[in-house]
Amino acid sequence: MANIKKIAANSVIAFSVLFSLLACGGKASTYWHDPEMDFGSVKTVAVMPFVNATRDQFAAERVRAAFINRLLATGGIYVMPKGEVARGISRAGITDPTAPSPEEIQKFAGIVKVDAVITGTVSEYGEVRSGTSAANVVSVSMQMIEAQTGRVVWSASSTKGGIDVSDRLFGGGGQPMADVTGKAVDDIIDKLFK
Amino acid sequence: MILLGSCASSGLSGAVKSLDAKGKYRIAVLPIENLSGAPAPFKDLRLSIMQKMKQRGMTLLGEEALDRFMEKNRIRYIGGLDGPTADAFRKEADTDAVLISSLERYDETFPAKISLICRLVSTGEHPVVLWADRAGLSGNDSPGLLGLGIIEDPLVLTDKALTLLADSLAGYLSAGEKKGDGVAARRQPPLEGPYRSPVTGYRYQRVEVGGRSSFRPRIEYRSLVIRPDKRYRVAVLPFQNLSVRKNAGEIVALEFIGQLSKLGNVSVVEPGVIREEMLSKRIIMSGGVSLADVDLLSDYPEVDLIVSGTVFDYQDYIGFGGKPKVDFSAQVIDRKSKQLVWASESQNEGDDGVLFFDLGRLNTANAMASEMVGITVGQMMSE
Repeated sequence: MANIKKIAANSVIAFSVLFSLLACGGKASTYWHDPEMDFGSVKTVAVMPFVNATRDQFAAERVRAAFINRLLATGGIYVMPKGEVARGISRAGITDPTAPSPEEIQKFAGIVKVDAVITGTVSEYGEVRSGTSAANVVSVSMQMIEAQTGRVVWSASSTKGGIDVSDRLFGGGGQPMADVTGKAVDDIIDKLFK
Repeated sequence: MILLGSCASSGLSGAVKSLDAKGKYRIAVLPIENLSGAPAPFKDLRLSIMQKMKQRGMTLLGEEALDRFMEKNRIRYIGGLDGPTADAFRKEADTDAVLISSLERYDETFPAKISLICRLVSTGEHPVVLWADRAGLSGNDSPGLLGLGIIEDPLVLTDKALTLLADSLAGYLSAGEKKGDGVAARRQPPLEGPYRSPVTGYRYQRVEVGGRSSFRPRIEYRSLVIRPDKRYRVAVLPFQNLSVRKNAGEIVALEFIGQLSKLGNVSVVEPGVIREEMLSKRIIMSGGVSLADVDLLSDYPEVDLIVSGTVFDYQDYIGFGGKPKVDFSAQVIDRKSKQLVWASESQNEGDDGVLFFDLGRLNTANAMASEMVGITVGQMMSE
């Protein structure tokens, strides 16, 4: 009986460790589409400056640039040039372009002639360490807001990189930042077109 | 380096012979612009390159005449040439072209490193970039067996870099020297070649910009508006600099100018003209190029494409250990359609092209930027 208890306790510990390791791998992702929205009508979008919740001063700008380029590269949606977006923000008098109100979005969209506006937050960008292992991680979330109504019609988030089981077992420094950023952005774009 | 090497191997004797045969092609050599953010022997570098140009048969505007001209026209900006100044160079100093040089890096710490970007700009009312090239060398570029190939003396390295540039310029002048209406006209290879567009049926000349595939943009978007069989007049704006390296935006823009000017179907507007336009029209582009800016800038005749972008990282290293890093994104806006026709992001490190034993390693950020921009431009303008 004592042996059975011991085996059971060991199994619980082993599974706990395994789940902890897998949880640290960081592959979380979620998304939501407004079922009533016709996404085929969205042909031109403006990508607003992202909220930067990281310690890297230019993390949001890097992720934004990667997102714009990759979204354009899909050929499915045209993205307004960043300079035109900046001009629109200035002309519409948006005080916080990372979190515009529905009224501000409607005004902005009228100026730059876009069908939707995308906002986002970069919550993690950089190296994470655990013990002797280190790896790059990127965590982003985005929203698409319909220009006419100011409603959120799509939302998605993605976390890529981080320390996974193989990093812990065999070492290694993870992937370069640009690769991790690209994967996170591609994941988000996949969720937009799903 | 392969490109530079091929330019250099175009033949010094041939270049000199051709220039002698064609007569005088008067060039003014402006003082060197400092983009390195550090002290360097600018006067020595300038005198050295002038000497090499003279050795290759080029006729230069005299020092006193240049000083008088610069004083009279109150020229303080030496990184470019605006329209009125270029016209004055033509009319007052009887000069056909102006050589503008920008020192990107000069480091005497072992192993020494030097990066110099030069361009030849036509004089007259509408100056264009005739030729542009750069030499980015490090003392340990070719260490060879037991390090016997390492160049320890910074003067030797500098001399090598300046020789490469002078040979490249002589090669250009010998191959494409042409004067039209008193203004040095741009060399335009005929639109002939082994390629024919399957869509339009037009013949065009494809220019292999060269470079390693590992330095390709990580992602790229190209609109069908860009056609390799069409001639373009391109304006390159300074890139937004988000890196810690001073002047990185200007350096990457100069690389784009250099690579674009190598293409036969592209005429690059002298960046000094763009600067003057932006200053006179009070254009401030803190967030990038807006469509209103495109309207204002395209007042300059026949600008078809506007190139801009952002530099996120531009890092060199000091000493032996380390590797350079360059990270930038580029965008091209078409003036007529006012649409983005090209967008790309490039991010590389110096050892990305290494297969084994450090072969293919690049030791200066300038050499890397040149590879990356060269491939970007090739992708942008290829079939």
